[in-house]
Parts: sequence; structure tokens; C-alpha cells
Amino acid sequence: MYYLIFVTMFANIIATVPRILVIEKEKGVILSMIAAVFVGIIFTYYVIQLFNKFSGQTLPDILKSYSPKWFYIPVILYFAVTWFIAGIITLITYVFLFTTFVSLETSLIVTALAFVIIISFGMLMKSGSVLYTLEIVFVLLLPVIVFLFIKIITDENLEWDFIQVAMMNINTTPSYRSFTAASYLFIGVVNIVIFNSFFKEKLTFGFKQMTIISTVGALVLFITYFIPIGFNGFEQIEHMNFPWVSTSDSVRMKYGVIERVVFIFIITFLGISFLSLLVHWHVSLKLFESILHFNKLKWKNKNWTSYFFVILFGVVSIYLVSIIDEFELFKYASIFYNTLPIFYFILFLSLFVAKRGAKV
Amino acid sequence: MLIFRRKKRFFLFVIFIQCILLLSGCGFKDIDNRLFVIGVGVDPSEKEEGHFKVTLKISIPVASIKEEKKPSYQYLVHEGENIEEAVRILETHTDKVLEFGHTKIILVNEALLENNIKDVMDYFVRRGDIQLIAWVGAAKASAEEVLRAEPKAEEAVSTSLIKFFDNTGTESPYIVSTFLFEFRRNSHSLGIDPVLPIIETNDDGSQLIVNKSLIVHEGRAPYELSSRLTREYNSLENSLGGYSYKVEFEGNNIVLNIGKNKVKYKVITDNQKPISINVKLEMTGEIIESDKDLSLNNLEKYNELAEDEVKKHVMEFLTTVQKENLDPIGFGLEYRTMHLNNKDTMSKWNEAYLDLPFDVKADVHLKSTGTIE
Repeated sequence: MYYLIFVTMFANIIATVPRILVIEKEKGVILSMIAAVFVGIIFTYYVIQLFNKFSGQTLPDILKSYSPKWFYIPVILYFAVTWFIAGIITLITYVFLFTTFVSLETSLIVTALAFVIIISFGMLMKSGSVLYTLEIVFVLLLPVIVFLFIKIITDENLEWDFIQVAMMNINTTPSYRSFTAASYLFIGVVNIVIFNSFFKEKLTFGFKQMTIISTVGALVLFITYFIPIGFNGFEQIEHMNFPWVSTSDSVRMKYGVIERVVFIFIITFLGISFLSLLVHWHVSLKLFESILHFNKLKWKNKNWTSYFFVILFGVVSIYLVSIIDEFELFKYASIFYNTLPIFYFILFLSLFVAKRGAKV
Repeated sequence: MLIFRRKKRFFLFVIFIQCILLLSGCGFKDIDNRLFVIGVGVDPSEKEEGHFKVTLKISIPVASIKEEKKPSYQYLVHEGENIEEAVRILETHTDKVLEFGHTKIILVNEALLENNIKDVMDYFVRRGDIQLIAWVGAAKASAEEVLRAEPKAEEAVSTSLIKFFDNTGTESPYIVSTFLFEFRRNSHSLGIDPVLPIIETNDDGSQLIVNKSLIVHEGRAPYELSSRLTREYNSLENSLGGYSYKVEFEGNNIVLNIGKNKVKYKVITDNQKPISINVKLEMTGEIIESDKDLSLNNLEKYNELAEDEVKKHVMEFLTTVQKENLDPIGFGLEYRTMHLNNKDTMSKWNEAYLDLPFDVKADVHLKSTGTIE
């Protein structure tokens, strides 16, 4: 469970979240972040509590047994599409980043294709295997991430004065946009809609777990927002397309095998964004499958529905990569983050409906 | 039936392997088709106003370090309306791809620092493949000349120009080193002015000299710090030691060597208005040169004398830059960290800065008189 939450937290660093936060730097981002931590933790708590009532069942299972058809089909469809979009934002951002910093000559589509092919195999894995992949890769990468963060934070060129200047903007009222972007960090728990089938026993979510998640969340948010400002100054940080990559490029390992930290950073976060993409799309695939099952797509005693969706995902994402530009990506990503509260609302609504149906 | 199925699988496998042969790679160029640009210099054009002259210093790979006595470089020079145009034309001057991923130094002609900083810097920051940890320097006379200099002590695989700044070779308080990201940060931020090292070369290009620096402020002629003021700046901003002061005591000339240096500064405010700047220095050092014999009993006395001397030098630096209304240390930034942000924070500071008094406290602690008394 922790893995699901933490992977989403770390993956946001490479996504559009830091960009939105620094753009809102003078519009109350600090209070929004504090609010996001509280809301995020309460949200996590309730989602886990509600799912505890249905141990071992996925959301489609629950809704199918306890709610009418006209209700659950649109709801699940909405969730599936949201998850797909969340994945595609990560994918496109990373593809752009990769071509800007690492491989300038490679075309966007080739890079995107490489991602999509590998992810497709991952999506078709069993949910259990996805969880194991997640665990192994994350455990392997965690020390590197911690090392990178320590390296970046202890760098002597990090100017804490700028961070203090940023903090001095605390007197502004929180903004909606930065709040939703910051609360995106805590959305990892929602992956439980599919992975709940593996949690046969009730998840304990007491004070200890809450403290761990809120501390890590607050720390990651702090790092996400303030460290780029410490390296790049407060005045023009909003002009940076990838605040975090530029930040990692500002750190130098004098006697390291690789002098530029940025390459280690990009490779590490390649792993993390892969994981986040894998989880998002796997959940999305399972949700689609649960409502749309084409009996016609039968060939040689096998139903090819999931393959159909995987190919569809691939085609849509390649198409989007080729037409979208960085500015549009940013615009759509922030619109997506802004709709997240609706998402929370629908999730809770459906769970309450199910709860009433089940009378538990 | 089983054999048939196996054959089919084998057949598919063969096709798959053959497909690999058809792949042409990911548009990636091999290393032997690349030239590594290690330094970029930008000068104003000699022919046309507003144009730039771009010089690239390209390192030619050597087969074996032992065989090569001298490093070999190629220089590409071209003038263009902007940097990108010049670089694009320079790509046609060579059969290989220019690789900017190893660019470690960016030299800008002094004359361009007055008005064109943003134009010049924009290109280098915008290109993702140029490191943000490249060093930026101001070239005196011209960037081309400095790049073309090949010092005698240079070895086959290391570039002297870079070794000045990276603190693996020489470490001196006279050398200011500024990363590209640092320069960009400080030139865009309010309350701090960036400082660049000045790199000069002698007439025949056999020596590089770095011991002065420039305070850059957009829209103004950059202010040059002499070697001594550069040293004071470095000791204040980067806490660098390794320099000496001369004091006189009872007709005896004593030279002190400062080893370690700790600096703290604080802006004192009263009712949101800055009233003075406190600078506190803690130094440890030793006596390195003296006319007469010294006595350890007198160390206390020498400490006091040294403190006065340090104070004098630091004050000189601080008041000089204050008179020019420049703020390389970032006192303005310090002031901003102490107040909730609103529109007039900076204007309040700008009004007050020019006549703020400095309060310098030095605490020198001499450890020894060297190997002799």
C-alpha cells in the first residue's frame, strides 16, 4: 500500500506539479500546500476505511453487486478515463523531457513508442505481478533517490536566502490551482480500486501510518517546491519548463563517475515515472475491461479485449505525443488537476452508494 | 501437429531476429561522428553593430594520453546576427556533429555585459544539452583570444581554462567561479548582483590570468573589482581562506596568512527599516613572514593588530561597492528574507542601502608563528 502512495508522490516531481506550484508562487502556494497535506491525509484515511468494509473486492466488483447498472457504468468509465489521462500526462511530460535533455536527435514518436511498447507488456501482467514489479523497482531506486535528494540539498550553491524569500509569501490567500496540484501527490491511494483484491485482511490505518504518510508527503512537497527556488532564484523560476531537471543540472559531483547529476536524476526518475505510468494504465485497463467485454473479439478460444485496449492506449498516446506541444500539455494538465475534486467526490459518492446497498 | 507448431514458432523467431537487422537505431549519432565543444566564446562582431562573433573551442580526441605531448584543439569562428545562426553556420565548417554536452566554459566579452547579458545567456540556458554547471567568465580584450590561448603547462587531456575554476587544481581567493545557473539566478534576482571572473591572456597566448572580477548589473557598465577587492569579496561571500595581510608592530613588518574564515552577516532593522549591516568574521591563521624574531607571548597583540587590518580591508570593499550602489554579497536578499513580501519591500531597501552604515567585527585567532619563532 505504501508503495502505491509513495510512487505517486515521487513521480509528481517529474510531472507538471512543480511547474504549477512555481507559477503560483506569489498566489498563496504555501498555504495551499499545507492545506493539501491535511486534505490529502484525511482523504487517504477515508478511502482506506471505506475499502476496508469490502476487503478483497475491487471497485467494479463492489459497484456491480451493490448499485444499479445505470449508475456504475458511467462512474467506472469516468474513473478509467481519468486514470488513462493521469498516465498520459506522465508519459508525454517524460517524452518531452527526454528529448530536450538527453537525446536531442531522436524524434518524439520513436521515444514515445519505446515507452508504450514496454508499458504494454506491463499492463498485460496480472495485477499481482504489477504489485511485485512496483515493489522491487521502487525498493531498488529508493536509495538512489534519497542520495540524490541529500546531494542536492547539501550542495553549497543552494541559496537558502531564496527559499526564505519564497516563504515570506505566506501572507497570501491559497489558490485553487496550486491546491489541486499539490493534492495530486496524495492520489496514489486511489489505486486501491483495483488492488484492493489483494488486501484480503483489513488494512490498519492508524496514527502511525498517518504520521508516516503525512510526514513523507509534506517533505516531498517541501522539496518539490522550495529546492528549485533555492537553485534558480525566486524571480524568474516560473519561466522554467522543467524546474526540477534544471535544478538537478545545477548540481555537480566533482569526483563522481558522472559529473552531471542530471543524468542520474533522469535515469532514476525514468524508473519512477515508468512505475507510475504502469500502475495508472493497469488500473485503467482493468476498469475498462470490467465494463466493456467484447464477446466478438474471440479468436482461438481467447478473448482479445485487453489486447484491444492496450493497442488503443498506445495509438492514442502516440497520436497525442505527435500533436501536442509543451504549452498545451501544461494547460491541459492543469485543467486535469483542477477537476480532481470532482473525482474525489464521485469516488466517495459511489462508495457510499455501495455501502448503503450492502448495508454494512 | 506438435512439430508443425514448433516449426511455426521457430519461423516467427527467425523473422523477429531479421527484423532487428532492419532497425536503424534511434537517430543516435555515434561518438566518432561527434566533436566535443569544450568552450564557447561570444564577442561583439567587428563588422556589424549588434551582431555576435562566436568562437568554439573543440577538443580533438587523442588515441593515447601517453603519446600526446600537447592537447590539440580546433577553433571555429564565425559571425552572425545571433548566436544560433553563427553556431548553425559553424556546423557546416566541420564534417561532424557539434556536441555541446561537454561545454564547460562560456566566455563573454566584457563589452557585451552591459546590455546584452540576457540575449547571450538566454541561448545557453535554453539549450537543454548545455550544462547549467558550465562556468561563466568575462573575457578581457576578446573571448576569442582567451579561448585560443594554450598555456605551456597544459596537459593532453585537461584544459587549463577549466581547471582554474573547478577547485581540483588551483584554489585561490583571487579566483571567483560562477556557474551558469548561478549567474542567471543572481542576475534575475532582486537584491543581489552577480560577479564574474575576468580572464585575461598575455600577448603571446602562453598564459592565462584570472585574478580580477566584475560586478554585473543589467543596463550599467560592469564595475571592475581589482585583485585585492576580488579577494575580499571571495573571503566574504565564499569564506575562502589562503591569503595574507601585512601588519606593523614595533617597527616590525609581519605578514599573516589566513587559513580558515567564517563569515556571518545580518541586516539590522528597526520598524521594518534597515538601519545597519552587521558583518562578523572569524578567522584563524598563522604568521608567515617577519623581519625580526617573534615571541609567542605577543600573539594576543598580533591578533588585535590583525583584526584592525582585516576590518580596514573589509570596510574598504563594502564601502566601495556601496558607493557604486552594487550589492554582490546579497544584503538586499537578506533583507527580503526578513519581511513578508509586499510591493515596496525592495524600494524601501533601495532607498536605504546607499547610506547604510556597516558594522564589521573581526575575530582573528593566530595559531602559530610557523616553524620558527
